[in-house]
Amino acid sequence: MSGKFSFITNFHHFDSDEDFFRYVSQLKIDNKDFPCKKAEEFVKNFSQSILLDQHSRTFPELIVLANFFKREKIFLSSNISKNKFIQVPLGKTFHIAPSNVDTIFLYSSLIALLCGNICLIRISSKQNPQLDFVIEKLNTALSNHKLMQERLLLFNYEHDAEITKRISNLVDSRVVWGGDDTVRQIRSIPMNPLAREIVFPNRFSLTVVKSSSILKSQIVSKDTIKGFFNDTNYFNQQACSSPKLIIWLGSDQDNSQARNIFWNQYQSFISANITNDTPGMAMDRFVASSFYTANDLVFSNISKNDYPMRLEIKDSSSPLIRESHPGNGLFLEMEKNSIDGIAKEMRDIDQTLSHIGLSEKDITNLVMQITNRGVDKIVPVGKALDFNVIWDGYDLVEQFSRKIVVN
Amino acid sequence: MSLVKNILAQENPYKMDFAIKKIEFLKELKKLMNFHYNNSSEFRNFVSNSNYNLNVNHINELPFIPARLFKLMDLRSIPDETVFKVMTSSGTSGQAVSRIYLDKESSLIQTKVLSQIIGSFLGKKRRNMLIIDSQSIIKDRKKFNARAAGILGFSSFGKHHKYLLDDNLNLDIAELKIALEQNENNPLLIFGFTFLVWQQFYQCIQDSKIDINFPKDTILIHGGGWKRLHDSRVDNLRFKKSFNELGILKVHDYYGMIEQTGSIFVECEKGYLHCSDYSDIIARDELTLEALNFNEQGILQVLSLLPSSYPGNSILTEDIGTIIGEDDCKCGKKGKYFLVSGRMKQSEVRGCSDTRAV
Repeated sequence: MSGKFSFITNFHHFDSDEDFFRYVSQLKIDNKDFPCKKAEEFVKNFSQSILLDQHSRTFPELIVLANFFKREKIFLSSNISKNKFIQVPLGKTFHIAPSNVDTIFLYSSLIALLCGNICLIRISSKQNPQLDFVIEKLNTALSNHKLMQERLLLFNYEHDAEITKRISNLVDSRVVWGGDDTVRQIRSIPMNPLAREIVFPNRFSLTVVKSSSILKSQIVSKDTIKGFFNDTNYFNQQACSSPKLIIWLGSDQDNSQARNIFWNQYQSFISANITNDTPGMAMDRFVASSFYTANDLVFSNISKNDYPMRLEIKDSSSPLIRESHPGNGLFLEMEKNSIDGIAKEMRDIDQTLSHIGLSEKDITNLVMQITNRGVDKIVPVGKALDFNVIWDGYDLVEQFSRKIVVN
Repeated sequence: MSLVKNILAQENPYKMDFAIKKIEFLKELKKLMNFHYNNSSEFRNFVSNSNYNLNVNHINELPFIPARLFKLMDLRSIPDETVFKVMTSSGTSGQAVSRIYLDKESSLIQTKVLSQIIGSFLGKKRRNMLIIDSQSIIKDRKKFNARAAGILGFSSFGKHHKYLLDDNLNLDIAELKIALEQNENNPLLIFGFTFLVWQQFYQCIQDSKIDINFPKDTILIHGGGWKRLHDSRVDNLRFKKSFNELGILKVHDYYGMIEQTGSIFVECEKGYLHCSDYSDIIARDELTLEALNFNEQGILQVLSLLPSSYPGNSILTEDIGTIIGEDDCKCGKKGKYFLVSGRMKQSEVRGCSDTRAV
């Protein structure tokens, strides 16, 4: 096709951009497809093909994705209870994926597919081996699933607000993964008045450690150390769910002892394991620590450019604390004496709170004291990156379906 | 009198040997950095929040600011009313640019020091000058970026300036021919940015297949880095050889940055970049940032006595290089000499943000 699109899934031929828009506007869904059996089969085959291919070892996050769709129950009785309404697919969904080496957009688009929707996905033109791998697997799986060829279309077009607008006018839902700027820019493009929009802008995540839980046994369990390492080493700590701030909860004395124990153990774990650290990451840490100190936001006790680098927060009120964090092996730390004190530190942008040693009661207590948009997920350390059907506060199954009230 | 003024008063800015430099240079740097400490709250925060010490006994122990910090925030040690000029780096569109604040005095000193350093290569007589750039770049004073600053800075070393590129950066061959005819017996000064000199000057001369002879003793000075020539696989040796074949025997690269305008590092006759009495350089380990020995490759930290209106005396660049030695270069100049091998590799951008940066 000589238009502005280049198609990545290749089961249709369009003579022109208009031809494509016409095609999309004619697409029909099937209300019986909630949940969609054929999509389930397709997603299973796709996941299987990833797990069976040895090359996927180079892409650990794809293995996690495949396992998620193999194991996880997407449809829970809570989100498909059929009392007093009939739940059906939403319709046509338009997904805008981020340009980086990241396949997180697949979670939301495959869930949309499982809910019986049509998925139009714009992906980046940037070449990367992981995306190439995924596309190959998708195309192979699609070649055996005729219906899915109509339901799943991946394509790219150069940034063009007009095209985004045309597609947005034809769909029932728009999903935007990206930074704040992307979300703002795409949001300014109107869509079909009936359509919903789900956006995933910049988020920030943190870990809370209850110091007494470490002091009890004077040791942090190996699993916890390894879990913390995984939470922060994958994606070079740049995933929105990777903790970048650690808040120590306890008396001053407990906090300082617990910190010593934790970091000593973590440091020896690091020295026995391969990290992703690179000179580029080390430079980012140095630039960030210089920026924080120059703005009087942190205090640094460490004279060397260590991995990981630890900085003590002086002024937690500034939004720069969260906005300027580059990931790449940098931890901001602060100490609090009470749950109340932690609740006051939560910001709208905070997404995942992973923890060591918080009881159920502590967690409820904390949640009840938060007075803003902060925190969408609370999990034990080691589970920070796990995907959940409820993401950023959205129940994705609810978002990709609608309920017809029958009374 | 400050050390800078002492050096300015002499003819040769390459004569301070290590025994003196390790005392005098360090003393002056500490004085300057203490001034910034007292006059820039950002620099004071940077030092005191990091437990850095300004009263050190060795130059390696002085704190250094990452060059990128000048892109992220304003750093200056002078009040608004004495800001005379703000210089910006020539970042590509969309990228943050560094902003460097100068008062009248520091601007003047930059010009004088640059002139002394370049003068030591050019001799006293001002030559007719060919500039491998377009005149339009210096016309827009609002966009006063590093390239324009470089051209203006170097212009004062020549006379009868001729800009050889048009607004689209294409070589005006007719203009070049006229210039060469007019200057048959006058050694010229040719100046431009490395990638323009190669792509828009040398290659156009080659493509046009015209027979060209530059006057004897013509000097070519170029700088700005090799990054944009990476794809055409041109290195300094090939670059020099190519111009030697056109009759330009004196070809000098220079290494400099907007944060330390003036005290640039010029390539000597033996092919090494040289510190002058105004500057020093340290290579640091890419991960730990510990100082390295001579002949070990690392990230370059550049030191300069010039910045007096902003805390730019000690800066960690993102360039990779190797210090070869000190005071014993065969060219006879004192000071450290070194090679730059390119930019360090940036960290990967991961995670879920940034859809638009396709």
